[in-house]
Amino acid sequence: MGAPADEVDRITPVFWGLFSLGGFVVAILLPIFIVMNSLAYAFAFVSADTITYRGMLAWIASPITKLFLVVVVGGSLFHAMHRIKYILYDFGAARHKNVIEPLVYGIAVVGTVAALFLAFSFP
Amino acid sequence: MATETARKPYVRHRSAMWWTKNPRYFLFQIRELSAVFVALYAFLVLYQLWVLRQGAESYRAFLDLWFSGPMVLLGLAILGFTVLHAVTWFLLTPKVLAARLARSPASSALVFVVMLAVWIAVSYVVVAFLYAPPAPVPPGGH
Repeated sequence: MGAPADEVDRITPVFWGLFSLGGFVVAILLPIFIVMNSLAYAFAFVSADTITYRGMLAWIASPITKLFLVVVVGGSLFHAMHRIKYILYDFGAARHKNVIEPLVYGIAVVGTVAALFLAFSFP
Repeated sequence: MATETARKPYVRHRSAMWWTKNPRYFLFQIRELSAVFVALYAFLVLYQLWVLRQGAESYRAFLDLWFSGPMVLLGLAILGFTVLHAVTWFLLTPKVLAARLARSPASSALVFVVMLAVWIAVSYVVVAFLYAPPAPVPPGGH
């Protein structure tokens, strides 16, 4: 006797969907964010005003910036942790599926919630 | 039909270094590895926001670290991985579309070019709307 035929795995497609959505976020939004957040000032593309404490507070005051940060951090984490899961499986850790799955998706959920709270904690 | 046999699945043996044997597998695994850097960057941004909440003094100290040589090099490395991810992601987009909509493979190149155009356009919009030059800081501030 196997599992009943109507027992459908509804969890896996959700995480594949988040992986796919995150893939587009990582592909389309993350590179320009890294350029603007980590490299633009270092290569003198933007003035020092943009990276100061005041400049950053002015930047993050916009609700669009807050939403952007949550989407970029959350999308990156759901995409990356899903892939990291399969990297671990590829290296022979598939036996520990029961530990790895809650761990990787737990990190993605906690990180996304943290991004939400941190971003929207600014005035 | 009546007999049930104990299931004994065949597990193929695979060395942990299987991906070093073929350049295609190597590129695949490098792309997979990019996920580690993407996750790392997400946590760096969370840390950045955390420090920003701590106030001006903490953030000033953080900036010295954030724009130090090793961190800029790390930023460049992460950017390289994300660009590799973006290009390979756009290359497989037409394959997903083909599987879903039975498109002809001839349109693959077009879909790739469209994805590149969308990428550039969205990047421009992000810079124009989120990183517009700030209003001049009033004197006495900082």
